[in-house]
Amino acid sequence: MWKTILRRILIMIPEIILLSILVFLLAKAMPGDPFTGSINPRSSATQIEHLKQLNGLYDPWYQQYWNWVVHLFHGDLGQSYQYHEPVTNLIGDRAINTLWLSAFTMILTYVIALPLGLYAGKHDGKLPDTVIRIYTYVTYCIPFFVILVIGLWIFGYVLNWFPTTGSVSPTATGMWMIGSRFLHVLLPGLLGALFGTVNVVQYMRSEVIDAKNSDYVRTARSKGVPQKAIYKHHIFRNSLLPIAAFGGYSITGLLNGSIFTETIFSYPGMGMLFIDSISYRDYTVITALVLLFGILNLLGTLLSDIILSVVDPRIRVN
Amino acid sequence: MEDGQELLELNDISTSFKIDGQYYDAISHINLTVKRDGILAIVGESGCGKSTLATTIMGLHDTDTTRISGQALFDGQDLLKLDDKSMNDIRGAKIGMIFQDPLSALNPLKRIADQISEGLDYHTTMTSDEKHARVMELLSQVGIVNPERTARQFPHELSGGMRQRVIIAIAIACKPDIIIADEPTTALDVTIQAQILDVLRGIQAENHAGIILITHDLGVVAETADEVAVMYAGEVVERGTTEQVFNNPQHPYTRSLLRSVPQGNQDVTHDDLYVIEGSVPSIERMPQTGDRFAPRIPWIPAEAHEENPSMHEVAPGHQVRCTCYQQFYFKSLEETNK
Amino acid sequence: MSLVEIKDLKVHYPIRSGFLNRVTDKVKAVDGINLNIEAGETYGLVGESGSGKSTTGKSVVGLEKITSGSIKYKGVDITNVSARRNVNYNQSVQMIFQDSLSSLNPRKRVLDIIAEPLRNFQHLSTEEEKIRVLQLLEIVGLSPESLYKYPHQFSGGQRQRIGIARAVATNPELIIADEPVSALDLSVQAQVLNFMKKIQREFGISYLFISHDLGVVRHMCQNIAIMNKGRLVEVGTREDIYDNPLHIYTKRLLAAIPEVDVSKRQERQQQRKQIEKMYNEQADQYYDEEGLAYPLVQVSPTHFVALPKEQIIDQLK
Repeated sequence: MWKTILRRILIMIPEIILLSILVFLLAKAMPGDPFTGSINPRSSATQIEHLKQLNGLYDPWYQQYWNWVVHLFHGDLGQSYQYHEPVTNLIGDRAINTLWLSAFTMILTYVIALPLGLYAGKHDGKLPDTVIRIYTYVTYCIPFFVILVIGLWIFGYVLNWFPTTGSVSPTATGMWMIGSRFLHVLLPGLLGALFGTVNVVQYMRSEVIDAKNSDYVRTARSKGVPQKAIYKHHIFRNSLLPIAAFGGYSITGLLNGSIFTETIFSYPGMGMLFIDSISYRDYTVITALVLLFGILNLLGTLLSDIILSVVDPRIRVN
Repeated sequence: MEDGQELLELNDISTSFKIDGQYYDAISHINLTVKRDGILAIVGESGCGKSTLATTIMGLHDTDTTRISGQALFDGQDLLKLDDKSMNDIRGAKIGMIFQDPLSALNPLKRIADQISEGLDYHTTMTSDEKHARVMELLSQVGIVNPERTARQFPHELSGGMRQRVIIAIAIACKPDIIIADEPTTALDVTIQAQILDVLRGIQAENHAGIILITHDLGVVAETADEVAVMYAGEVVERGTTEQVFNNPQHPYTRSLLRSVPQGNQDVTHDDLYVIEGSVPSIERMPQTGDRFAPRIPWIPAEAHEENPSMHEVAPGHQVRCTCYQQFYFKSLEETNK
Repeated sequence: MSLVEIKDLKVHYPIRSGFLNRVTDKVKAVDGINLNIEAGETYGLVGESGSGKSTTGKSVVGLEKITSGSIKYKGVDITNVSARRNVNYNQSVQMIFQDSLSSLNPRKRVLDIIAEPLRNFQHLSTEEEKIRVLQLLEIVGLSPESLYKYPHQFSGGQRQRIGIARAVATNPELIIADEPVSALDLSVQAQVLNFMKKIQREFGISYLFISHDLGVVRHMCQNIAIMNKGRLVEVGTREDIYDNPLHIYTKRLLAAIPEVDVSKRQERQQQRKQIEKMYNEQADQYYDEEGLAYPLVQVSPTHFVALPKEQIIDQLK
């Protein structure tokens, strides 16, 4: 198993290199350069030219790429034009905020979705199953941002139960700070989970139905295993397997979702930063974020593969 | 424990399935007995209801979409009247079942040892050491050479024959009185099939169980069974000892079936096999009255069939459905080619 | 000249393992097979699962990349694609599969399924194509209404006949039938086998009949080869194989077939035990150090067996 995992990690290295080259070339292709906007407008063309030369902007692309990578390893992702702050600092705080929100959304998603999926699968075709399926279809039909806007309006503005902007109350200190943080992720997390459950519920439901009708469950029944134990030892466990593997991939969904959620809730995370930097053409930030999102996605798939190789004996033994 | 003691008595069992809101009979009015130390073979082609009969006895049907009537008397109680909880005390403990497809019948995520001892968990008070010992004993009994190793493996690591042995070990874990084997060798190579049938016979000699052997393979029946019930379209059309049914077949279906077995003395380019005209009706189109086999022997006059076919005794213990057997003859070659 | 001459056919698959996934070993699925199929005959290739019989069949149709050896069709080596085109090979050689449900595209109508090879090889108008398909349906005994139905609407035997109709659409000279009746009930099996013989008589088709079922093979084939672990262990006429088997593997295979004769039950079981005992005790004498069969040796004009000379003399005694 360790061999498989190690091999899988090694395969990721060329993937990351390829990704970084792509991101770098894209960044190069964008209009402007690191000096646009930060240079004294009265500088002469020759002065600018000199600066560009000094900073290696006329080197061949692979050398520039190499320099960029070396800087990357030193934690230097360049300067933000808009904030005049190193990109690393800028992303650092927001990454933690996004992590908070995403982890909370993910936990909530599975806590809600697994029992619902199991219940629907167990009683497929009956009333509760129909209700759960209608819920998933309806939710699936509404665009995510509409859910967010409506949720924000009802629970944030009309009912005033939750804060509507930010990641923490500016006046909060000490223990209350954690409480305040939690309060701020509660509504976006809940709404995100509401949307995220749709896939997981459907997936879990069909896995349970498959397992329920499988030959090995029939074998278990013929051994005289009570229904409850069959659900616990055979159906639930076997249905969870693809779901667990799916977990890694769902990171991608969470990151994509964070762009909407954070923008609508003015929640200072990576998603909002991304949208902001796009509207301000803050290229260094965009590049860094694209690279980061890309790597996180790769890690997600890696995680899925590892989970699968750990839980499924058929893969474990090659 | 006397030899030939009646273990299970099936009286007038019918099972129907709900298809598009309507119930259709998969098996109708089955009467059979399973004796201790005996092998009762139920033979028939796909769709004849032989597997439905097995799952009916085991109570493995979804009660929402299945209707069952009749009696299955075992140990003084009617299995068909028991609730799921009481049935769980019988399944695996008193009646064990062997399934056809050994790969899908095993849970892919559980080790062999756990799958065998699962039955012991619910039917015995063994300690885990005792269970382990029993698993080893069972694996040796079904002819697995290295039980310690096999016990730790997962289903996909075993060959088809090994998996089938494991399936048998699961079925006999609690020394059941009755073993129902549903096509236990269909998925296997002939040499493995011979070994598995030997294992089954060996187990019977040791445990003195009664075996219901469900198969479509007439050869397997001829070489293994003591008694045979031939099923067609959900009904038993002929039953008797293996000698009676194979040496002196009476029902047109039994006779036709035996005649379509390739014999090997025919010419490879010119001699054809006997073909039964028409095809088995689907469950929704099964005729509910008259002789269900009549449409497939249209040259036999309608008067030869009974209106409500019943079983007729042609020799002690040898019964045939409908009276048409008395007038049945095979069409001559000229007639067939017309 | 035989219709098909297979010479020293080998199909080896690499086994990759270790950290770098290097080729560390190979599976010898087919390891040096020689056989000839005559025009108009049904040649039986018998073996258990994993014996390499299906791989051999697929190699003949060109579905398998062969490692070495040659397959000659009417004297032309068809192991490379351009040679195959020159002799219209892909049109003259067709295949029937065991699992008719999975080998027929579930989303296509019978018309399209049967017409597919026609569309590949012959350029017919829609009308001509339909007429040809209707002809084919009639040959296999299916009603014209079948034209617009889908595979799942048919029974197993009917589906197998659709597969045969597709195979005979291009008037092939050779059909590779890989376990064509294994999934069928006895009465349906009889229908399909009769039908295969009928079109053979009418169109002079040759079959390579691949099966594990010795009973069916005896009914269909005059010449038979027994395959075991990628090699042939015994080749001969029907009488050679069934009346005078020499290799322990053939004997064991024959002994294992259950017979529909109740009176022989005890006798058969005794015989089986005896052969099984012999097999367990002397298996190494029948196979080389690698556990594979020896090269074939001729023991009569038609009969070949894979045994060392001394062994054969012993056997014949």
